[in-house]
Amino acid sequence: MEFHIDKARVLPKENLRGFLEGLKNLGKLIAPVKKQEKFYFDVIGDVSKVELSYTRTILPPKKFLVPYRRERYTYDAETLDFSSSFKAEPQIIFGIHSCDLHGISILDSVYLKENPDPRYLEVRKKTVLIGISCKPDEYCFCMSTGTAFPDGANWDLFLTDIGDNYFVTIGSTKGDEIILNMKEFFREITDEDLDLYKKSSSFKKSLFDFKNLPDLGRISQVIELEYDSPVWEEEAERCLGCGTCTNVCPTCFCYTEMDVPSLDGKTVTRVEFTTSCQYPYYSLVAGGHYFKPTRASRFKHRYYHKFVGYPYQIEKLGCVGCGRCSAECPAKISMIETIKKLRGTADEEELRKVAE
Amino acid sequence: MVKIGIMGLTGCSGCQCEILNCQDALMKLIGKVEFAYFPLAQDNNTFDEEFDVMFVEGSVTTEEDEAKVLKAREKSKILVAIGSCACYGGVQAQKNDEASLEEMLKTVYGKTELFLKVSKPRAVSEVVEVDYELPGCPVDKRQFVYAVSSLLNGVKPFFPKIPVCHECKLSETECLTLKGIPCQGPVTYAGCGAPCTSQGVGCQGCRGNCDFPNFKEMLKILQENGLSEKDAVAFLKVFRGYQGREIKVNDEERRNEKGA
Amino acid sequence: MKKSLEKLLNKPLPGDPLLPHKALITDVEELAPGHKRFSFSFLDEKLNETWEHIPGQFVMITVPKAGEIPISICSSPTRKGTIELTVRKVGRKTEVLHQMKPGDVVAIRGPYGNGFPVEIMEGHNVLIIAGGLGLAPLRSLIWYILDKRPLYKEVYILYGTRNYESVLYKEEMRRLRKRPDVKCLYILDKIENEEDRAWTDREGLLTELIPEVDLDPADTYVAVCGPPVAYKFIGKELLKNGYPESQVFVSLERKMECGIGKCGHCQIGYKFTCVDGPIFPLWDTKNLPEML
Ligand SMILES: Cc1cc2nc3c(=O)[nH]c(=O)nc-3n(C[C@H](O)[C@H](O)[C@H](O)COP(=O)(O)OP(=O)(O)OC[C@H]3O[C@@H](n4cnc5c(N)ncnc54)[C@H](O)[C@@H]3O)c2cc1C
Ligand code: SF4
Ligand code: SF4
Ligand code: SF4
Ligand code: SF4
Ligand code: FES
Repeated sequence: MEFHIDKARVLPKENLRGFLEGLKNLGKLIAPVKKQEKFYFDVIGDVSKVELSYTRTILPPKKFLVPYRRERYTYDAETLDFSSSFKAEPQIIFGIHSCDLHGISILDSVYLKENPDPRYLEVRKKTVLIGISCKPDEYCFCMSTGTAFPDGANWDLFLTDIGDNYFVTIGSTKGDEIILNMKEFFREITDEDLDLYKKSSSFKKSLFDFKNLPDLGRISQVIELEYDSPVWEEEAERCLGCGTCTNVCPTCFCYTEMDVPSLDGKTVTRVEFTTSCQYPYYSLVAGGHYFKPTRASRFKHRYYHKFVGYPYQIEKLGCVGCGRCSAECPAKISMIETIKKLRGTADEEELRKVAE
Repeated sequence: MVKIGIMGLTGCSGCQCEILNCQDALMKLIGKVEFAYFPLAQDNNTFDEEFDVMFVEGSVTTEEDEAKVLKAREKSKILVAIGSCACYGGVQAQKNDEASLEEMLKTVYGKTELFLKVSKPRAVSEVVEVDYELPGCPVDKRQFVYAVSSLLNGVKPFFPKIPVCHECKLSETECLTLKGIPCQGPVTYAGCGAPCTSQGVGCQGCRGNCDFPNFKEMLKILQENGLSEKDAVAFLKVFRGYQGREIKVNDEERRNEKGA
Repeated sequence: MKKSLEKLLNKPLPGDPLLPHKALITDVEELAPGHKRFSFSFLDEKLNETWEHIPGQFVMITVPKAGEIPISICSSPTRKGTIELTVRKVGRKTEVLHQMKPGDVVAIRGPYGNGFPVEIMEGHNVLIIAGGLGLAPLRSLIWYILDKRPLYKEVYILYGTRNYESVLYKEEMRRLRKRPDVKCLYILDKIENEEDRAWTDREGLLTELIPEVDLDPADTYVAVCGPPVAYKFIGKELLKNGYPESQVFVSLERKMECGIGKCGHCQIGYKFTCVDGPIFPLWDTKNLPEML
């Protein structure tokens, strides 16, 4: 759908509460809340708990589309009749940052392009995605991945902070309907709103420290060119293999499946759980052979998949620059740093010369 | 009927208590299995027949322990070590490589002659062949139930040795390591559900090593978080028993590590 | 919203690709120690008729209570009504499968993977190289080609095993050797007894047979399946003998959980073994790091 500016509306900030209450009538409302120092997406009862200016949540909203531990089927051990208790409920995920919206679009491609998964599609059809603008911190590099703004992603409404109001862009008919049904909270846009909205993108850009951003130009090729670089070993030496980086990533999708028999042996539950390519067992086959036997090979694989694998598999980078993998890594390994090291100082210097 | 035994060696019996806490599962088992041997929970215990599955708790520390576990192995089709004492030697084995038995006895009891004949605490697998290990201090209830239901159904249980950080992420617990609190999660075998970290206490490593633990980086991080190298090593060794030998302090020893 | 993305969401709900079909074990045969052949037919009669696969493809089979495993289909699609799998007992799930008997029910989904390019191979020579259990997917190819024999030129089968005892499909392989329209060269790692000697007098590695193949490499398609360690050597030997790397196809094994490109475990470089493979041209070693 083309974006028509006349379809945008303005939500005065004082109406936000009413809007959120109204959203609750459409289904389960999910939004970021604070827990100690960090944030996470949770089901909302009291809308005053919703955090509007959070940095990033520990887990991306992915967990409400593909739960980290999910029962796929239950089957009868004798007859092998498969059944499932899966049911998708209407839900509204509010307050998603641009990078995570792009993350969800990547999941859409992963789950729906080839061998589409009916469960994901059903959940997705019943989910409303409402984004919100954000301010980057030192871990964010969505400017490099092209995901700093929600254009090109799959979402329903997007709220951009323009001071006293939110400029609400409409991304889908679903979003349009929501606004129609809650007309009382919105007003038409004025030239002044539009002016502020136009400035919002340069405002976001101005918040980045451009020296800190990684250069992702021809990154697929760089990863391939540097496949044998000693940088992998150096970085991987610090890697604990803890899997945090993939578990917090909005685009990672790997899982392992496990059949759990009941005590009486009559039924079996097939469970899928999110896993990580950083775990050695991930590549272990019968006979004890590890296809990714070293820490460096596992470490490298994550980058390889993000920047070479995804582009081949779904025609997009697998990284949306949300910074979670770096912000949460217990060894403080930074994706930005690794990429910079890989590109090498020569490349960096060249870049600086061009910039100057 | 399937015959099950639950045996305690040197330990605190906490794992056996934990099993008694699995009420729902135990109720379902009644009528399907016979607890032929479970001295902690019942009176009439026999050791005469073959056991289908024998669960062994505790480390092998006394002469009696050794005799018991040898007999258990002989009599059981499947032998499962439960709890970190049985799996690794437990907290009582943390100084095994640093002091002689005599020194240990003198420090603890003030004498070397006891009424029992004791050895250094050993993991069950250091004495007899063990089919499965369910570590934890105490053993995790859900894992125990999963292992029992798998074994009763003739399937080997599947426990990937992934680190505790995995479970922190699932419960969206703020990372303690990043907050400067010593935490062993990145080198510790998950399966507990991360109860410690979610309460703000660093992982104590009670479940032993995950696959290919990176002790080098772990030691560095623990030091950054306030422990001396000696304390960091001692902290890592509390529960790991014989697995603590994988903690190498110098680079020379580390060179040939598997999965490095 | 992007058009392509919007389209994805507007599709009707597809069928569940992970849901398997019930199948009955109709026959079990012990082929060699630790190796059994299982024959299956689907409980759904219609499916037995409509089932089609390409040699080299695999299925995911649910071993009740234990879980799912990927196994190559070892029967030829030209023989309808039953599918056969050759299974080696190696771990927790295959152990349970090995205890199952005719009349037991399992569940099967598939076929998955790309399979050998049988149509592209038409009109050319075919060289089949099997090591040990690698015969399983190649057996499907062998019978497919033999059933459509006139479509192919010369056919060679090289088969290497540890000893005679571990030879799979002994009778079949013996009969093949007697056929005039295929050339069979068998080899054993070591000849230790009379049985071994009666099977073949060749002792050594599979690679040693390659120079003896009397075919024009440029006009030959090669299909290889064997233990992971063997590929490097076989590949090298084939290239040395002039076989073009775009015409050598290897069947690779990786850990697999889903078979449909969703679980990630099977990735080789940027490809999924389950959907982009498991059959890869040797040429792909150029693109895919750590392929062999
Ligand atoms: C495309 C494809 C086709 C295949 N075709 C066939 C075929 O035709 N016939 C056939 O027999 N097999 C085939 N296989 C292999 C088959 O899938 C595996 O042998 C099977 O999945 C093993 O399952 P299992 O549960 O019995 O073994 P598991 O017990 O699951 O063994 C595999 C897993 O167990 C663990 N493990 C196993 N051994 C060890 C060890 N020594 N040390 C530590 N951990 C270990 C690892 O987690 C490993 O991933 C194929 C595989 C693929 C990918
Ligand atoms: S989060 Fe950091 S330490 Fe953990 S696996 Fe990823 S890179 Fe390694
Ligand atoms: S790779 Fe890291 S920065 Fe990129 S999307 Fe994943 S978690 Fe975010
Ligand atoms: S392979 Fe690794 S990086 Fe790629 S999706 Fe899976 S867990 Fe994420
Ligand atoms: S708190 Fe400990 S176990 Fe949890 S993620 Fe951090 S390092 Fe890992
Ligand atoms: S087997 Fe799951 S992605 Fe290939």
